Amino acid sequence: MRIKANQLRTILALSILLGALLPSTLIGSFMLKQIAEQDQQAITQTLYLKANNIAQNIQHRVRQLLLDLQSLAQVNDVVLTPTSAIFGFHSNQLITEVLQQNDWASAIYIVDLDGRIIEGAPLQAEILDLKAHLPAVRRLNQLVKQGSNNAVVEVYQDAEFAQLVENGEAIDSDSGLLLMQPLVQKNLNAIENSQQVGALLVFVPMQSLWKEAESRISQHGSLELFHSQRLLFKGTKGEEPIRRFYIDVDLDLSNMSEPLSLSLSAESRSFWGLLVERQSNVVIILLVIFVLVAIIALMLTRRIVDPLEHLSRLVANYSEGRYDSKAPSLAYEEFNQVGSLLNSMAERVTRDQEQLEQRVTERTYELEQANHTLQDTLGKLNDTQLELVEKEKMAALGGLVAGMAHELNTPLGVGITAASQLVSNFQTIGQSLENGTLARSDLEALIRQGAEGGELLESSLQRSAALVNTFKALAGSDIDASLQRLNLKTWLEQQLQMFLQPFSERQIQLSISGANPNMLLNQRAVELVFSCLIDNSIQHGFSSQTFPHIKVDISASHETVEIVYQDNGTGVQAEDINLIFNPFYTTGRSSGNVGLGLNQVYNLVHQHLLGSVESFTAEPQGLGFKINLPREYGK
Amino acid sequence: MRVGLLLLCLLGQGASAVEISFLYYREQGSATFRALLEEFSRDHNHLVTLYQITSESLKPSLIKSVLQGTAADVVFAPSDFVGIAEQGKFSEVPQALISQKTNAEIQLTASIDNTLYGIPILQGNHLMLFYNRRLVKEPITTWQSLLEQKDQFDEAGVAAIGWNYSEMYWFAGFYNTFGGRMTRGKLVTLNDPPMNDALNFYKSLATRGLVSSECTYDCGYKDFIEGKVAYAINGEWAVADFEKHLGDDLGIALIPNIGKKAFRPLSSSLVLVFPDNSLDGPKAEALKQLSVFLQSEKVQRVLYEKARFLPVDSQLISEIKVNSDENESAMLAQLELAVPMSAEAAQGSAWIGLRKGFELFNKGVIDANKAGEYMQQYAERDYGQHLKNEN
Repeated sequence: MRIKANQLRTILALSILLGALLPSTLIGSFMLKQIAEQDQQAITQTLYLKANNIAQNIQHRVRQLLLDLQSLAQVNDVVLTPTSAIFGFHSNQLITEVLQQNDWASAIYIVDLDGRIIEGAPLQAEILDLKAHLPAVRRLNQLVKQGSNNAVVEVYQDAEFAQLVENGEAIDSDSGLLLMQPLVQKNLNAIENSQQVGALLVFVPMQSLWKEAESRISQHGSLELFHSQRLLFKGTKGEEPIRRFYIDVDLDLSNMSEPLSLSLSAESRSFWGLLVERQSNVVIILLVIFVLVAIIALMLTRRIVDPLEHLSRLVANYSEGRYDSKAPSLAYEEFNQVGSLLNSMAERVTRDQEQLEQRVTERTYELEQANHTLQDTLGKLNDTQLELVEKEKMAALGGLVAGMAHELNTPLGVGITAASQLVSNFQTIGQSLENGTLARSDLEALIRQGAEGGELLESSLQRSAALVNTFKALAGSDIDASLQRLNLKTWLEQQLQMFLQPFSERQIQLSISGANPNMLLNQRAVELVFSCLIDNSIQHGFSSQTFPHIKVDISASHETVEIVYQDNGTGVQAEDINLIFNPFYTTGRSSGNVGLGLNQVYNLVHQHLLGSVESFTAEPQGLGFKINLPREYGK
Repeated sequence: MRVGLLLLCLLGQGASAVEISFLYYREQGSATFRALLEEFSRDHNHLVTLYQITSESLKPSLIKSVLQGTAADVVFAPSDFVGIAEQGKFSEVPQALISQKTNAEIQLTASIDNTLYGIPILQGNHLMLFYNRRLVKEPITTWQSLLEQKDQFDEAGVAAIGWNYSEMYWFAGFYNTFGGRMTRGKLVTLNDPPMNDALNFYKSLATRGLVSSECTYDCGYKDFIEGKVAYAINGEWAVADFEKHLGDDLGIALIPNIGKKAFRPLSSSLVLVFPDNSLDGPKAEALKQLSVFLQSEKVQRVLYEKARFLPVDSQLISEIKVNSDENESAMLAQLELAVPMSAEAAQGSAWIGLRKGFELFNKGVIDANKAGEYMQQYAERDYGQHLKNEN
């Protein structure tokens, strides 16, 4: 079975897995964090208790040893030993016994006032040199002289005593505690006249303290002992950890001038450290959770996906038209409801299909009928359209002809009138000649009238000829189809200046801005377009404008060029803006304008330049034209 | 009337009856002594009580008792105890109290600087070789011979020889044999060259398996009586017990020579000393009576016959020599070779120094040379202290 990311089965299984695992992991993490914190607190508490325990144990052992020394100092044999070695045998047995009872002491001595060894235990301790400790003995003697018979504890430095301890090399320290108990001989017959005869010396090397404390220190823990801020020893169990914290406890031995300071450290375990420590448990729990959740996820997925697959197959069957398929009994009521609905739907579809087929048949027949009707209607419409186009053409042609007739009518009417006058005059002259009644004055009047009528006739004909030329130009028939390549702006600047040259007295300002596109076009058509536009501006726009201004702006794209031409003339009425391209539309007919200039512009742009033109009212005043031309003619 | 008679009786008793405490250190012979003291008490209307004490604790107990004022009236002790005469406040003994049958040599063992501090009662106190005739046909004369016989004893399941190995009284004999002396006059002489030889030889006896270095007094006493050891080196104080238990199986011989050197054990006299100047005290008369009693021929004979102790009575000794059997001859012959212990205080210090050095050597802490030096140094320090105390 392939697993796809967009499969419901995959999504569902992953959702269940994540939905169950994430809270489990978060809760597990939280609990582990809590455990870690509690663990740290417990470690701190334990460490504190341990430190106190170690300190108390050391204090207890020192006290015990001091008590033993005090007891020894009460034994006559011990007291008398410095005065006579006769008592040494028994004393040695006693100090050996004390040494055995205090196994952390490495040596016990009975010394005389000069610190010379009289008895020592263990045996090998007797040959050690105590010269280094004579100052301590003298200090003790001094205290006794001052009236104190109490034991004194000092810190010594002598590596020899560490060697007497088993595994003495466990820590590197030559320090230790020196316990000194003065031996005072009393007159056994009387209370008075006690006299110090020597001292009991006990050497407790730091190795013994470490040996004593080591079992109480956890793995990676360390113990440090300071005296007057001097490190006496540092013992570490196992490798020294990177993260650790300390507990400092004062170790107050009443017989010492300054207390010892005990610093106990333990490994500070991080959250991950705890995780690693409980790695197997965590891994097992996570695996169990994961397996359980995975099984549940798979079962749930299967319970959900299987009905869906059944329904999916059912729907697939329906989609293939097999509406006879029935939904099986499914796991959940909801799916059974869906199945039931699908069954109902299939029945409905089957029924509707039958009805639909019936209706389709009916509709098809109706449509066929309608289609025939439409075909007929369309044919009629086409005919009507052609008829209308023809009518329009005819109407346009009629309008044009009517316009042309209207324009030609006046000069031709004048010409005819003039010609009629001439004919009439020449008939009059002829009649008068025949009748001989021709008077000179009449003849001269008639000739003068004839000359005037001729002139009028000539002018009317010329106007008619001009109108005919105009009509010809309107068709553009005189423009050849040649194309030229030019840079539009450069070209327009020269051309427009030339056009305006004859109107220089009008002081018309010309502004040409924008791009200078290279174009392939019919140059003659463009000349005529701008000639007409300038004529239009001058003739219609600038009649009452003191500061005439023509602006041309060129913008070019990859394929087209837009030319915006506008003047600040009088413009046209808004309702007439769409009429200005109509032939014979003019606002200056009274001035003799025909109203074909802009129509010519329209025709030139559309027919010879394959572009488009539209007019607009310029702001704040004037008339404007937007001319869109292809950059490359015909492309 | 009755009251008068009672007072008379009490006064009469108070005038004659003296309670004497008698301190006795030997394990052997106490019964004999007790009987003799009872006899004396009866005869002289005194009350002599014997207090038994071990030899190890005799000296310190004696000194402490003197310091405490509770010292016994009379102490039976080896003559070298005279060395602590100062600490023990021993009474000087007038020559008149010494039996004329006690020869001068013996008296010297109880004298310091010609001052007598003890009354010799017995002599000897020396070591000798005992052997079990059931295990030994012919006693050895050299240590080499013993080494050769060792295999036979091993096969028989008995130890070759036993003695109290760590007790210096035994080792001192070896030192003497090699030519050393613990003291010479008032000098401690433990670091003489013979010490090195003695220590090494003594140790070799243990390392060669002839004797166990762990041996205590029982090795040369109880084990010998029980037949677990063929030879024993023990003192003349043990003769009675050995004779009692072994009977005719007991053999006495000279301690084997070391090479060609005859073994020279220490010897001493056994004396009565009077601590806390008791001889000058109120019990002086009774004590003198007791001294006379114990030196009397009758008592001396009883001591020899019952306790098998060697008397100081020269006539009696001569008699013993004449009538001696093989064992007694060997015992006396060994005595002839013995070196008398000095009564000087230096001897006491020497004992302690010897023990200290020997222990260190025996445990392998120091070698023989260092042991000799340590012994000498320790003994001299103690002797110096002793002299200091005296002053």
